[in-house]
Amino acid sequence: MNMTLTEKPSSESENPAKAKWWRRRRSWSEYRARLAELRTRVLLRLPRSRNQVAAITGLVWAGITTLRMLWPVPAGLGDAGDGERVLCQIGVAPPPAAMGTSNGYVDFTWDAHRYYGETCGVPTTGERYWSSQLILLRLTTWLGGLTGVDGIDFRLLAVLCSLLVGVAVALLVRVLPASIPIPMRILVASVTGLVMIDSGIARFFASPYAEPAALVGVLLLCPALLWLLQQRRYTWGALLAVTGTGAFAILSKTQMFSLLPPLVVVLLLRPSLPERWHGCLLSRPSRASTIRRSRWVHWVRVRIPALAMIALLALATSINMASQPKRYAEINAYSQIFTTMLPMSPDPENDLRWFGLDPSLAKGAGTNIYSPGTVAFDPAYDGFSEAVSVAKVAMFYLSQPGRLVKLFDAGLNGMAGYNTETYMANYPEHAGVGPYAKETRVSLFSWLSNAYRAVAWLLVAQWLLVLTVCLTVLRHWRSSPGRRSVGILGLFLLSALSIQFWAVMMTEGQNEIFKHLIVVDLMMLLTVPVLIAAWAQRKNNNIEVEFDPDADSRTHAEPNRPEERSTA
Amino acid sequence: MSGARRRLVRARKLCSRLTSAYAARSRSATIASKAALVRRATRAIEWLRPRFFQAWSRCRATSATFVRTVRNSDARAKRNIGAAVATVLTVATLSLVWYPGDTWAGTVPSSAQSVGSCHVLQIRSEKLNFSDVRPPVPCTAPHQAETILTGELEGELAAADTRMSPERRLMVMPELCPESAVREYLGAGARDEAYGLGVLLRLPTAHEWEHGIRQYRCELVVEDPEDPLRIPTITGSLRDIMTTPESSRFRRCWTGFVEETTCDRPHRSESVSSIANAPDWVTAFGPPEQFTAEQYRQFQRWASKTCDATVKEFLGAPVQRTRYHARGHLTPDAGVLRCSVASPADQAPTTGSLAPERK
Repeated sequence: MNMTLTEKPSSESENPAKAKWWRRRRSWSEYRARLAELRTRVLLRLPRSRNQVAAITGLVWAGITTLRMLWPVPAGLGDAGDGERVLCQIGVAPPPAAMGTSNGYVDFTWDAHRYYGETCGVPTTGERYWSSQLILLRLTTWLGGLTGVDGIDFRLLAVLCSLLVGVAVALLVRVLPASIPIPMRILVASVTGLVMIDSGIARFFASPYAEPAALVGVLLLCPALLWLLQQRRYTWGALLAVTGTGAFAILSKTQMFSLLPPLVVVLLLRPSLPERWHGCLLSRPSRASTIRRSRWVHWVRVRIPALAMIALLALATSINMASQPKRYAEINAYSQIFTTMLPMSPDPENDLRWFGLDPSLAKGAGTNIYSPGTVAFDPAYDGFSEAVSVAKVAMFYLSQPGRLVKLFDAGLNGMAGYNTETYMANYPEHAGVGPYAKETRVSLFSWLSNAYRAVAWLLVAQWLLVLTVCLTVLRHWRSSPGRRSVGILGLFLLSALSIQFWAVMMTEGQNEIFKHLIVVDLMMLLTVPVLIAAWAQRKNNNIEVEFDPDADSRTHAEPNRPEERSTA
Repeated sequence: MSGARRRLVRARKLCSRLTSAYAARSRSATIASKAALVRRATRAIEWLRPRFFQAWSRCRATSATFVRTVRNSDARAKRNIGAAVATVLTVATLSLVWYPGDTWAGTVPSSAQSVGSCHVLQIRSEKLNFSDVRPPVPCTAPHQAETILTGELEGELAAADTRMSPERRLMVMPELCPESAVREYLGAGARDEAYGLGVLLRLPTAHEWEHGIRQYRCELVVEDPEDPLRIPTITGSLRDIMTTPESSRFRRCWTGFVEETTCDRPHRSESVSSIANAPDWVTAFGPPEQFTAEQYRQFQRWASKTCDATVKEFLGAPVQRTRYHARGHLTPDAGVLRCSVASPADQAPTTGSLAPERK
């Protein structure tokens, strides 16, 4: 290189343009060389142990998230009247000024209060509202008790959620497929961390809602699924991790049942019974005997642990769904018909007739059950709850494809409206900002979603892109579970977000749509790091082969790791 | 010599030294008998000693074996232990979802509440909920609500398997908690308007409903007309309060044409509990705040004629014979006329109600 560089100046006097081009090229080469050197230096300085890298990355992101939540002033999401139903179960009540209504500022501390009888639960009916958010809230209360807080401080909840984000990021670095080099793993995990600290997501961490459990649950499920899917035969630890985090996410909100179907599919993908028990579960079969059983029986038998986990998940989901307040079913049905369906209808009376309702109720179009123009007090409203069910709503839309497309479009606009609602406060009163001021500390994805707001159907394009990439990953790396795990995770996210999208649109519809679609938005945003991970493992030579000194002593014919076998 | 043996010898020496010292120091027979007791104890210790150390050494050996087994156990065993611990932790963590918060301790049955009992409502959900099973407080203590009527649900309402919906509850409330009962409890006359008081219909709890209890009760709850979210506190019973000067806290007054307040604050006119539909020409004037002087005069001329009879009834004498005069006020949509008795224009705003003065 140096030789070539010293030879060229002789031509400068002959052709100035050529000399200029050469100088430019030389500077570019130097720049590239310096960049390569820098990269090498960074790589050399990285800790060798994957665990160390994971721990450091996790700590950094836990710190960033905590800092982002608390500095320069704490930020979160104010109560709009729904928070008390969950918080009352840990014995706290909102400040009287903000009770049951949307306040212009966030109250980060709620004082202890003694509830009697049915006063803790859904307003008026007093039905209990169960959510896995209670786990985080109880931990926060205990932490608060240690620091002398009587009641709850949502800043502590934010710190707890930040730690969980750090844990998830660390686990991602640890469990991303071995085919992805360490720097790329850090990049993928960091993009995931960036998604979690975006203004649209992170403000929920300091809020009285059940969403933090849903958001953190979905995030923690990603590394758990990657760990599980890298195994040819699921181990108990990975199964437990997926079931535990899955249950945590599912139990957070009613709509989160959407995670159950894709989880069932993932858990049944591969065998989970240890090979030594494939023959007989309780006693060791004799070597001479031959076991004869049908293919299906064998298929079921080798998945008994996973089936047990699925049964537990289904049981927990059923109990949770059955114990959800009946009052919410009525409120949701009202919102679906009068807030969503009728305003979009060319003939509201006819729609009401389809459900067997009095057409005179059409005057309630555009209202919700609590708004001044509600028809819930109308004598014709009697029997509404019995006439409208989720199944019937689904039948209605399926019988009218045009209306289904309209509903889909409304849902896409709801998704694209990520972080645009204005009726919930973000800052405390002492922050020096006006009431209902929007917090935009880290709003990269909120800013990017402007493009989706312009053309909401771009979300469909992203959905299709992720689907294509994930299917390509699955097809290309057939014999490598590690590499396939990224593709399956992408498909899991797509299917879960699709089910949840329709679950929200068929139940609550457009009522508080931006808030109800936040988990769908998160899952869509999480497909971005999945795409990066799929891109990072596109080359065959990006393989990290772990040295195993015993490999030679075992066999030379069969490689140790599936990745090696697939790319040898 | 092993450590245990050494400790045993040391203990025995100490014991014999103590015994001999005790015997040497004691001269009386009582002390000798005590020394004999100590000797017996020593013998008992001698009997127990080998057995204790045998058991101790066995225990140590067993624990050492366990530790050795765990240390030397294969990876599979360690994995099994780890899996078991992780399973227990996961189940324990998830079970926190259904960890019951005890809200039923110290409650009283709905049916135990009687007319005249007073209740504390600290937060909004306590005010809005179907049932209230918090123990009542004496009416002399600070409280927010008071039971004025109890009854038994009948017919379709009682026959339902589940309690009525919140909307239905509001719809049946005027029937179950009629205004006449409220006025009777408050001791209100025909021209006394109760202001800043709300009515609540309380139903049995869901559990009580399942067990066939259908008793309901009506409560009067104190409200702040200027801040609906606030639940003001009172001390003392509301029974027959309209016959006392304290009733001014619960009467509607005006400081101007549309500005309402309670009569315990400075005001210029007081409600005589009389309303009428405003004619179309009044509604056509638009919002009351934007009335012109001429429109206002025109409206008051009509209002004083309309309100004259009720104001006379309130004052107990023809209006012309008193220093007061009838005045009309309008609701914000200008659709309803409210009659009032107003002080003379040259008089400063007054505090308190005219009603007791009248009586």
